[in-house]
Amino acid sequence: MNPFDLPGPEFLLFYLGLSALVIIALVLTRRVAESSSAPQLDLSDPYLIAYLRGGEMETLRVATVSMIDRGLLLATGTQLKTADHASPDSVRKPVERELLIRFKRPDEAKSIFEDSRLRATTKPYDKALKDAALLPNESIVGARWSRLLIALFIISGVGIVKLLVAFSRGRTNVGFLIILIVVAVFFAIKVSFPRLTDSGKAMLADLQELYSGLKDRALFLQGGGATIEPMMLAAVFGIAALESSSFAFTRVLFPRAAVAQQSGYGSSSCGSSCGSSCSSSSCGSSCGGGCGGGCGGCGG
Amino acid sequence: MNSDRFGIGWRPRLAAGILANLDRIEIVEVIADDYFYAARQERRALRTLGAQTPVTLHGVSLGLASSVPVDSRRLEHMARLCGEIEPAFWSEHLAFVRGGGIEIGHLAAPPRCEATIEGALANLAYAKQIVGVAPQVENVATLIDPPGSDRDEAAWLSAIVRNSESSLLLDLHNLHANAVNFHFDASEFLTRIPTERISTIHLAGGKWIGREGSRRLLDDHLHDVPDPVYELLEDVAFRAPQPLTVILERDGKFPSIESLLDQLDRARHAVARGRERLLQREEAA
Repeated sequence: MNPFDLPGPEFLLFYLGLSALVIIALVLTRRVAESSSAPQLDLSDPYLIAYLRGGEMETLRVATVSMIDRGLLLATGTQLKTADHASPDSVRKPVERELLIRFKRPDEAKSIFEDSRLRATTKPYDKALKDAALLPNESIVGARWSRLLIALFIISGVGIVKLLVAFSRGRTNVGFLIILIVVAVFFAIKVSFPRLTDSGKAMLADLQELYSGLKDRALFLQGGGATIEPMMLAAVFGIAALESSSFAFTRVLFPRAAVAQQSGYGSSSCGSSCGSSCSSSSCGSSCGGGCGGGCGGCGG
Repeated sequence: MNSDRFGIGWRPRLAAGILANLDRIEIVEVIADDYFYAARQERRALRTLGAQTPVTLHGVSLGLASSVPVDSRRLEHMARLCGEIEPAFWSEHLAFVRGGGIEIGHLAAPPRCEATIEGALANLAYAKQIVGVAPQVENVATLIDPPGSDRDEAAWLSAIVRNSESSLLLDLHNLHANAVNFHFDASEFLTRIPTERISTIHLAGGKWIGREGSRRLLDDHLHDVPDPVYELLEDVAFRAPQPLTVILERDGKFPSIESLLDQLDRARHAVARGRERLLQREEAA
């Protein structure tokens, strides 16, 4: 059976199915090609993780919140100013140094996103993540284009041939087919270029899993820069995860970001260690999970 | 001697501190049982953790030291987890945790007799058969002298380690607590066990319980490592020249990560002192 001889409605159904298959194949081949075992990352750097999660904007946000938390930037309303005692030489990371320079003169917090010098300080994170294939590097982008071109060749090729067949037979009622071609091409392009690779998505999900215990304690995390925990929380889950009153300033400075991801913060209970070990086996025998000395000590 | 490594028990509460300090933490010990029924995502996260730092799996529910055969279902879970995570090694306690179908909810010290030695050896052989690798075996703390025993802990432990393929995970706080509670010399204990089979050391803390005159030391993993445990660690490093893995265990009342890292540094210094003594002895010889 020649599909190009199918009457209009049947061909539209055939074309819909074909496009769906091609797009699914596009997604699956990308996933297979871009998934690999987790690479080693510098997990001590919250800005790197923030970049993985949300790109340069997120890194700048988390860095700004970190500087305020440590008292190096002062927030007044939506404005920021470098603290008098804060010297750019006193911080190690380029993004932090640039923030201190940027706000020597008070300015709006959101101006960080328009500052090209600040944005440039995040480039090393971009490179590190591309080197680890967590963000699409040159070869991954090339492979994505190759797959997309094949998909577009099939989708648009079949559609165009049918259009030519229709025109050759004097048919002009091809509006639905043209719409289908455009929609299929649109989706093919859209699914071909996600910001993260499959490995990147997996890495982020794994980090969120590993830090789930921290998220459960978000309300009780203290500010003041005493520990890295608040910044790791912000890096892994977004600044909206900084729920404690110590970080109320984030909702003034970055109102959209501070609430945008809230839907992602269910109160998933303490999951793994304590709960499961205490219940699944035996409390005393699972001290490792945090059951402590409640049943006669650990002994282990 | 340069291959000694120092690590911390993985607890979700300590995640940020551990992951941010992997330059000072060379290995992480994960409670295996927490992942026996974990979702795929949780297990994948554990693999990702393993990509950042060596991971060991520590079991708490097999109940190896028993005349009752070890539960094959739990062993299969352990085997699957080991296959997925590819840990540096896996370990389990020489304790019994169930009997007659009842979970006793505690890592109990078994009677130290021939029957439990034979049971433990059979269980260790079976564990190796299922998992593919023999576990390291850990001594446990006990608040009562196990009834039905016909030998002391050193003799019982030595018999199991010498007659199995397992190396010894020596929990120094368990040893310290038992020594204090049952009035024996922990250093002398070290001379009676095969120290050449020690691979891993656990460090932990505990608290005193009971009334004056009948006080006992409880191994609760909720307190800092006490000085005598560091002294025992130095002694082990002196007696055991092979590379050692030292794991700090903390299950609650968590101090700052800096405090835990300081305890790990104290452990490093203790091992270094023991190694130095060993070197001096070898040079003198």
